[in-house]
Amino acid sequence: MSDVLEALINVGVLASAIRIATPLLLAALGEMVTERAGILNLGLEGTITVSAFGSFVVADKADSLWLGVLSGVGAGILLSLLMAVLVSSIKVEQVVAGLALNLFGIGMAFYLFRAVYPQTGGEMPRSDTFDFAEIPLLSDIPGVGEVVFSQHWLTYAAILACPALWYGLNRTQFGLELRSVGNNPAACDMRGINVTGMQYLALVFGGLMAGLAGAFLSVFLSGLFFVDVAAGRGWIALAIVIFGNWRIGRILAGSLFFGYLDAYQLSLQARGVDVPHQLLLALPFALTIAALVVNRRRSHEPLHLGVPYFRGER
Amino acid sequence: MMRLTIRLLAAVLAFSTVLVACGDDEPEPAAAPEPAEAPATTAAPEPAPAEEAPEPAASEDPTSLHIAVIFGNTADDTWSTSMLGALNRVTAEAPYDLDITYEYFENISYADGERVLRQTAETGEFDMIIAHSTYSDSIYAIRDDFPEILWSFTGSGNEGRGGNGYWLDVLPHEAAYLAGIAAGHLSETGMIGSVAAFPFPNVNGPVNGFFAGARSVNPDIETRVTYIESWFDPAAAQEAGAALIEEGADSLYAASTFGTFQAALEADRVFTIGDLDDQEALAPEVVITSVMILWDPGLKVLIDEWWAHETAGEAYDAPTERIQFYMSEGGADIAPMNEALVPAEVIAEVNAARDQILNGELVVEFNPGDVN
Repeated sequence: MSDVLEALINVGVLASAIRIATPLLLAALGEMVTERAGILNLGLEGTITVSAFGSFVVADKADSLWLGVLSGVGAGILLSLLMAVLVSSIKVEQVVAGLALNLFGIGMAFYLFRAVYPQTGGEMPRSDTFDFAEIPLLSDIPGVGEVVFSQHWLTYAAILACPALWYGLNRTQFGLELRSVGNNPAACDMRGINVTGMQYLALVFGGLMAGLAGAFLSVFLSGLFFVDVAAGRGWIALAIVIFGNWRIGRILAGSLFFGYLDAYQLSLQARGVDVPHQLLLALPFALTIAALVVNRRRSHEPLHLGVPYFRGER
Repeated sequence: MMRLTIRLLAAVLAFSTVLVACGDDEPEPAAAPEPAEAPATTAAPEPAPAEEAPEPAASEDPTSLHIAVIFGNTADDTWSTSMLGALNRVTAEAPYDLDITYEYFENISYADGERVLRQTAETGEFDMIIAHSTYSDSIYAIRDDFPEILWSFTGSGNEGRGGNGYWLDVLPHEAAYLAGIAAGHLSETGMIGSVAAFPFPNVNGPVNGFFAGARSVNPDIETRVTYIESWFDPAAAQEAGAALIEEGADSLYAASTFGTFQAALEADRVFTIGDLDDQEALAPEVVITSVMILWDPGLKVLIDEWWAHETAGEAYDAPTERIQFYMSEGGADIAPMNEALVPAEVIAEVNAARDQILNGELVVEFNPGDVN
């Protein structure tokens, strides 16, 4: 029993929770911005996979982790531009386009991976990985130092992105316009705001963030690429956006909470505590459904989410 | 007009997106209209045999054997690379002077199994089809349509029904026991662990063997196992490894998982043991050895059966039990120990125990049940 309680506030569990949360937070923040502009991008899983591959192959072949990150981001943006053409320009059904993007992204990443790395019975390729970026002095603080200040630089960037995004979305003209596009594109169009252009920008930002999430999985963590490298994280990120009710603070909290549940069940297993860990793994999804029900009346879901905008139609 | 052109272009793009998506696991290269839509297949390292000779007359013995291998996972998985390695070795040995060639099709989901296996058989190119995972149900659904083909499926979770369906499996628990001896000696914290994929017989068997080996040299050693509920999630394996290290484990057996080594790399004095194939090259700083499964004897049985069928006209009559081999029969082994990490006396002890297993003096219990 004491194990069950001690694991709740264990330094290792908390540090692990933040690592697990990082790719979820990155992808969810990007998706939130995309959805605020009225586009539901279900293609996160495929985007993350393509980006993980893009990062991996460049980090390995060019021997540069930084170029790897750039390439992963570029791959994420490219895939999002494809999505933008489909849903913003030719107004394809967004759900179908997103699902197609997943199949395309995962299939393409694997095809390219095999083209670059033929497998005839040897070992799997592995790239270098970033070291943890311990912040001088702060990382020496007992407890907090290990949990918060001994993470990867991309983790710090993801967390710092939250206040920056909040400011950009809520305190700038551009942010207001972007949110308006998701709520009332017709009004924006009349005001002279380029609805399609805004949606392109929002999707590119979403692709950039999903690209960073993919890079995190390959060149920050294991240095391995598998076709299943995203392992459902794209879907969890989509759930986190709903769980967070499209608000940045809650999305940050939701990502950390989902990461925490995962780290907690791993710690319980490592302690030899006999708990049904599968239940803890499933809990985030149950909670997302619960959040949907609870938030039903005060949902911040963009009013025009998933609905293609046609000028002149009502 | 311009606008229409753009829309048409975009529509073509969208359509090809869907096409590629549908085509990514097609087993037939010829069916793909564009290179980007080609399937994820790779030919064997040997050049494919040119079909210059006409079909040998019925009285003549066959000179070539063409094998298709279906991987449920990707070919980089050690479950797959161990099969490719065995195929390469057996091909080089050329039993019955056969010119053996193989092709593999990877990342085939179980839901697609029946369709892919049927399409592979319908090409008429293959004498033997090895579906390298839990495909027995898919095979039973179609094998009667292809009675001349020798079908095989591998690993736990299958069902044997005889006929032309052969069930191969492996017994890595003895090799894992040897790795456990090394881990038991190396442990300073008194605890070792395993980051395992699923609580699955093929996974639990070697994990139990690993812990038993450690206890044989250190009876008080504590053992912990963590399941990550995934075959491929290096990030999860890494975090699971970190949690075990946090609890004090200083040797981690990566049972059908990848990425555990990364947690060891970031810790002080933690070792890992690779699984199913030699993984020392992945992280020589921490991998002390690997548990290796060897499909060679099983493959030779399949080739013998096929040969008897082809030359003597014997009907395929597979046993309903699995065809599997102990270490002394060549079915498993431990990879060369990492001499930079493991002291010579420990290596000597592991080798002595290996000899005892090979000559039958030491019997390691196979326990595929819950890990304890």
